[in-house]
Formats: sequence, structure tokens, C-alpha cells
Amino acid sequence: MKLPEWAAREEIYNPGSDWDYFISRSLLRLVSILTALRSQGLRPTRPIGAAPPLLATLVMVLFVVLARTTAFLWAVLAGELVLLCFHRGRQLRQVLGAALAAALFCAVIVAPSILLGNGRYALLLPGKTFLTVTALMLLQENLAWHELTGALRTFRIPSLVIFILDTTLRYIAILGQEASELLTALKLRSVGHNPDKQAALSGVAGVMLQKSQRLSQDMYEAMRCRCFTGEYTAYDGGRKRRFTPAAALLILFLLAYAYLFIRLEGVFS
Amino acid sequence: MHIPENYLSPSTCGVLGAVMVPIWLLSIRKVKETVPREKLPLLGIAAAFSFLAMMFNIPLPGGTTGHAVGGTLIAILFGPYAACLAVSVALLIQALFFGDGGILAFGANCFNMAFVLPFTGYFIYHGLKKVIPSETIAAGIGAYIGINAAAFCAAVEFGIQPLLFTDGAGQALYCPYPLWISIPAMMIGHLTLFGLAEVVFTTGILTYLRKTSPDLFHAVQAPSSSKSLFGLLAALIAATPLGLLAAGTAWGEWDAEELADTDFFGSALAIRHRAWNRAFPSTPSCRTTPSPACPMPQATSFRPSSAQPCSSSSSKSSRPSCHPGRPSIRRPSIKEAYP
Repeated sequence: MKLPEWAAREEIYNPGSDWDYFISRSLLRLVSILTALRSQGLRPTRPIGAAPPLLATLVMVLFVVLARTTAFLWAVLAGELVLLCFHRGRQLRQVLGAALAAALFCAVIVAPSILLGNGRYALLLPGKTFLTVTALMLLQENLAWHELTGALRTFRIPSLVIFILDTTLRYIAILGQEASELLTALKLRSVGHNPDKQAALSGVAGVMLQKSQRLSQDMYEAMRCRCFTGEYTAYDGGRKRRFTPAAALLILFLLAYAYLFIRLEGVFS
Repeated sequence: MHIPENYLSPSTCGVLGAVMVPIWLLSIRKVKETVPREKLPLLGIAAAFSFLAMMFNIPLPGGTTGHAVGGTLIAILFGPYAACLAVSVALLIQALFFGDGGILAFGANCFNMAFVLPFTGYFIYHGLKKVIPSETIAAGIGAYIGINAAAFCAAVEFGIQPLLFTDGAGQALYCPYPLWISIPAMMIGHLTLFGLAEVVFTTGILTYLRKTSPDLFHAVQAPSSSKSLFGLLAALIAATPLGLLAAGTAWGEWDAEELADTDFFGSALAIRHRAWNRAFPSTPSCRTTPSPACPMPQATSFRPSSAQPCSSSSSKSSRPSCHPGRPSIRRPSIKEAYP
């Protein structure tokens, strides 16, 4: 049997090199977000409400930002290292990786300021960045996100904002999953040179928007079925956790650091 | 453009957070009034979209990539007040759960990316739509100017830190780069790479949505008008002369002696003021260096000022602090200053 010419022709398709790593990089970031979101469900319940740790973190961050001496920063580092000792290896890697990366980036940014004669405090900035990022990472490693949004309600933030925040956290997971599937499909279909990358990515984002419109309609119907009007009430699981021993201990530590800050920074002198 | 912790002073963060409070309250009120109840979940989903949009690497000409905020796009689709809330929530999640942007600097980040960006982008789009036939081009220009306006605000916030917050030796306490470094450093990237990424992101999605589902978000957009914004600006302009009636000194409008009395800024500003006086003396006979004719350095002022003994300066407009033996600069009345 004689093959037609087009079938007998040797395939010599050789796609030229193309810069399509925007798909891989977007996909990588989305997957890391989704992994972080899914790990939220595995957090054990702590014997302390979310409001005291959130408040303590904010105050500690304020102290660190205001500090001008290394003595207070060493004291904060000591406290954070003690807290880190109670964490698992995976958590340590996550916290220290993020904090060290932020501190390194900060060091690169502020290094040229030494030439301007501003080295004294600028060199403290990477250390301060390490401490503040570590404090925030410790907070979010120990508390589930829904507990943190619940804590925001205790700070009298309007219900509409909590509702948007709560919906956002849920739909980051759903839309993120959708986006990662679309990007995977795009990557599988991206063979050879893609002359219109902007259109490809706009399609992914556009489909996400169309999907979000349908999701919002579904959510509204689900809300109506459950008689949920968007008003949140703080649920404490039937226990009064406003002032537990753990919260009292945290407040004691915070007061100790406030005293250290006043003495070491010479606030009233 | 996310400002991390430690680069802005807590007072700068506090001021910008205080500026954002009425904007958030106004946005909540506008959204409650204009967005129908069945569309409220879409606001959270818009915030999720805004969050995820910042994760995308936008392909740009030349093989490079950039990140977009998507503030103008959300403002065009959902209205500027809804965009303000959605981007604020996305920024809160980034700061609180991912350590991207500072917690104390949250107000500053929201001012730049949730207020300046969507409002500037939206009103430019709204204005250009009437004169440019293509809505996509109007949206692209709005997105480009919006993100650059936000970057400029961030650059100014960085740049004023070494001017305002230094220790006694003139060392910057927070961001060490002055305006002449921070503005080019921020603007070069945003005028080229990130501005282009924002344009590509905004116009690409709008074109896609117009082709595939043109009436998708028609019912969502709140009927926003620029009247309230212009009304607020007009009220602020009209209220500006009220400051002249105040007996005390306006914050930030100190003369050299008042700066010398303030200790919470260190001596850096007073040093700068003396340098200014040295460069531009007010009168040839009264220079900044002490001399027998003029024992104390005198500030160069655009308003006439007169030195007189402390004991005689007991009027309401004089400075409250009075050091024995030191001549005090009396703040002139409006009639004296502008006869």
C-alpha cells in the first residue's frame, strides 16, 4: 500500500524556544497558596482565644518598629526563639524560611543607605524585619484563619467586612483550585511558540471571573436556605474563653516586654 | 508596592490608617445602599479574585513578567467603593496570613492600593470614556495612571521618612532613602514593567469579557458618581482658611525656634533649617551664625517676623514656650503679615 505524500513525509516539527514560564510561576504561587489554605483544617484547638494573641502580636510588632536599641531586639529574639522551640520541624522551616527571606531582601534594599551615612538604624531594619515576620508567622502557624477572623469581630469590625473576609478566604481556595486547573490545561496545550500569551492568561482570568459570578449566585441561594443574612455572632464553643490562664500568661509576658521596652529604650528618661 | 513593616514610622502608618477609616465607612455605606443583597457574595469573590490576580505572573513583551494589582479592573466591573473594600480585604489577608505587607503599614498599603489606585483609575476611565471611542483604551490608560499614582504615593511615604524621623545625629530611623531616591526607585519600575502589567491585565480581561459575556457584570456595578468625591474635595478646600483662625501652631509649620524646642524629631530638622538659613539669609545683617548684632539664629520666613523680649509677648498668638533671656519670635497677625 502506498502512503499518501503527506503521511509519508518525515515529521521535522521543531518548536522554537519560547518564554512560557509565566504559566509555571503563576501555577507555583497558586499551589503554595492552596497548600497553606488546606493546612488550616489540621490546626489543633488552642486553650486560648484568638483575640489575645492577635493583640499581643500587634503590640510586639509596634514595640519592635519603635525600638532604637539592639538590647530590646535581642530580648524579643530570645522570646521568639523560646516559642519556636515548641514547634515541629516543618513549622520551623516555614517560619524561619519566610523570616530569613524577608530579612535578606530587606538587607539588600537598605545596604546602599550606608553610603548616604544612614547606616546606624538602617542596619537594624533587617533584624527588625526578621522579628516582625517571625511574630506574624508564629501567629498564623498557631491559630486557624477562621479563629483570626472571629477575633476581628471582637474588635468591632463591621459585619460586612467580616462577611467579605470570610467569603474571600473560602473563595480563594475554590477560585485558586479553578485557576490552577486552567493553568495546568494551558500548560499542557502550550506546545511550540505561543504568539499571544496575554490573550491566554486573560482567558484564564476571564473564566475565573465568569465562574465567580455563578459561585456568588450559588452562595446567595445557600445563604437564603440557611437564613443567613451576613450578620456574625462570636461563637465560643460553649466555653467562656475570655480570660483563660493561657491568656493571663500571655498578658503577663506582654507586660514584661512593655517594661523592658520602657527601661531599655529609655521612654520616660 | 506592598510596604513592609519597619519602613514607615508608626505615626505615618497611624495617619494613613486614620485617613482610611472614613473612606472605608463611606465605602461600606455606599455598597450597602447600591449593591443588591443577592450580589453581596460577589464582593467577597471579587476580593478573592483581587488576591489571586496578584499571584499571576503577567507575560510582558521581551519575555519578562510582572504582577498586577487589578484595582482598576475591579473598580470598572464592580464600582470604586466595592473595589476599595475588596482590595482592602485582599491586602488584609496578605498581611495577616501571608506576611506580605506590614500589619502596621496596612493603612498605608490600603491608602495606596485600595483608595488611590481604584479611584484614580476608575475616574480617569470614566472621564476618558466620554472622549475616547474605545472603552478598552480608556480602561488601559486609567489602569496605567492608577497604578502609577499609587506607586507615587508610596514613594512619597518612603521619601518623607528620613526628612521627618531622624535621631539627634541626623540618622534616619525608618526608610533611609529621601525623596530624590525613593521617587525614581519606585516610579521607574511602575512606569515601565508594573504599569504595563496592569494595562495588559485590565485590558485583556475586559476584552475577553466583552467578547464572551458582555452583560455579565452590568447589573453588579453600583451607580457611582463623582459628585460626592468632588463635594468632599470642595468642602476641604473651603475649610482650609479655618486654620488661620487657630491660636496654636499648625503641625509641621514650625519656625526654627519651635523646631529647636521640639525634641521628638531629634535635631535633624533644626539642622536642615539652619542650613537653609545659611543658604538664604533673610537680611544681610542677620545671619544664622550668632553675631554681636544678632545673637540668635533667626528663621528665614516668607512672613515678616519680629523679635522681641519674652516678657512682652503675651498675646494669644505668641509661642507658648518662653525661655528667660532668649528673644522670642512673635507670630504676626494676618493684618501685620499682609497689610
